[in-house]
Amino acid sequence: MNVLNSFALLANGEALDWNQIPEYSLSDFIRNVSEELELGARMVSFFALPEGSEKRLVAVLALDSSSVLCVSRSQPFSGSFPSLTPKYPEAHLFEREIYEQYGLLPLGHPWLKPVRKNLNVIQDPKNFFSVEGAEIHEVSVGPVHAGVIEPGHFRFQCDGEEVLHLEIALGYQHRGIEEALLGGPHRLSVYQIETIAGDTTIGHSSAYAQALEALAGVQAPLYALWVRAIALELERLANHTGDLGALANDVAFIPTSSACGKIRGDFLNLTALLCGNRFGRGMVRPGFSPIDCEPKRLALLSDRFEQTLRDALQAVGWFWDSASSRARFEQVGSVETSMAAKIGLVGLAARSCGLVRDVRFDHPTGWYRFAQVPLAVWPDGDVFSRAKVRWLEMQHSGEFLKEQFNSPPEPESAEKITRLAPDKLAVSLIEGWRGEICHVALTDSEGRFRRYKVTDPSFHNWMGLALALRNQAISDFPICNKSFNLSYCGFDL
Amino acid sequence: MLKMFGRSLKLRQVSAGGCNACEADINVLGTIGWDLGRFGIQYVASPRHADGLLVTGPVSKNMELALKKTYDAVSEPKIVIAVGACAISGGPFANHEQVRSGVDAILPVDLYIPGCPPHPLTILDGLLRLLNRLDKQT
Repeated sequence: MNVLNSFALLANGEALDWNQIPEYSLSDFIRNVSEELELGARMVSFFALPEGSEKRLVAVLALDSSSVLCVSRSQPFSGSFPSLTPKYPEAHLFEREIYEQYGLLPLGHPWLKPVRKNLNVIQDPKNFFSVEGAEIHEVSVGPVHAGVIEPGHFRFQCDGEEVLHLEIALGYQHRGIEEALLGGPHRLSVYQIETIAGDTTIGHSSAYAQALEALAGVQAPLYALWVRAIALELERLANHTGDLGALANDVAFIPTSSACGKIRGDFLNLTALLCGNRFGRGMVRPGFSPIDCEPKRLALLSDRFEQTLRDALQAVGWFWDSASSRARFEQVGSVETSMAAKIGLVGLAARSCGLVRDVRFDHPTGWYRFAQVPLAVWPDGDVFSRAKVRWLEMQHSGEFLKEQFNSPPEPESAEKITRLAPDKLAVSLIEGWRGEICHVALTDSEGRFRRYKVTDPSFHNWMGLALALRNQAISDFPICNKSFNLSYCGFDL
Repeated sequence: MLKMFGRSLKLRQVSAGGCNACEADINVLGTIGWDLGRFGIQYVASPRHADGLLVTGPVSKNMELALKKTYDAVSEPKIVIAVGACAISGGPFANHEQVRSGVDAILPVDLYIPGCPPHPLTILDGLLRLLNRLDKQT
């Protein structure tokens, strides 16, 4: 039997009827999902939802090379389900999340802990993996770190300077976003989406807009799609510039660090020039564009952008010219390509391990159907590689934006979305600056959210940081951490 | 008390459910364009070195204990500054059962700086006003 028959197929940014999605008994469902993963599909989302007194599992997988997403669901059940994690580690956090959110027990899961809500269990010292031995010591850091940064708890098992194992415990930023979206869209929903991860406001609000447009059967005007692409690439440039500056700072290369700190703000100010807010709050709304960038403002934006991009490339260039700084990044914090694929890394962390994975390329929607940004991939999987991919992406996004500024579509008027179709499921992927943002929205018979599943790229990638630290000097933690620069709040929801 | 801190104010930042936007624009004040240090204001790594806290986020219940402990670790006299809509009232997360809907639910707040996130200029303005360091003419 062709396994794909057991899934409903759809493209990114599309919706389908809930009852069109094939439903299987739990054991068949798990078997189908594992067969598909075995054939090379990638787990995009995996979650549970209540069905009467029972629960149901839903899996969304991606066939990147065919630009297809596939969805399947189990029949309602209660109690436990066979864990996919031992064979497919990319499922490990999804299964822990299902366990925490709905109490379904993934049988055979090797490291079953809650992920964000139940902090007492998460941070209980006896629930951390610990290495035994006379020479072993443990370093415990956080939740409050020695900098202006979000909270998280890190436990290193060390043999001298060498880290044998790092376990990362999160949940401190949990604000109840998924719960609050139930029964929505509410008036506050879009604001909560914009603050899932504040540095990825455009990424998450674009994923939300795309999901709602699919559920309402509405095409956003080209102009709105153009604005979103510009905002998304500006967000990428601001964050990549900031990250490269922070990496330079951590190896005491001050010229790049100082300049990038300022230039990052210059990029944020370009976003503010468009919508009045440096982080793009209010820039993206479902169904239309609240922004009308008249020609005079576009000309100003374009001019200031060229200058800012030149400044950024020059400042980062100083870093690449410094051989001793460059050398600090080489062969530090490596993740092998096969490991990256196994744990399901996404975004720039995946591309830095040689994996060709980019929603803009594999599952293009919106403006990216008309204008392509070249992929940036580097094979080594180390800190150098993650810096290099950022550098390449800055250049690619820079060229892309210069072109797009020259070809704005005509602004069109469009209606706000007021009603969503009932009993539909939409999958919406956006390549944010960290990587793949996934929103899966399911409506009830009234067209309200019955389930809204958010997966920030950090959800996939924190494990990558933990593995990157293995057999590294603990003093290299800062550059390893900065090279991933993952979101705490995006994970914690 | 503020006179005492007037020429040197050391702040420990705590993110308690913040989305990283307030944190980012607090950080920006330390960059070369703003150079917060010239006003005698600095972010410090340890609460033991701090004269007060700069808190962001709606105060998630999961950060409540850590925030209280950090506050307790700052020696008297001390101030608390709430930065951003979340820290003031819970912002878009107000009344969620997972948050305390603002810093003043658990700590006495001396200054509220509004915005989502506040512009760096707004944060700087708030800090300088608190210290009575703004020129009266402006």
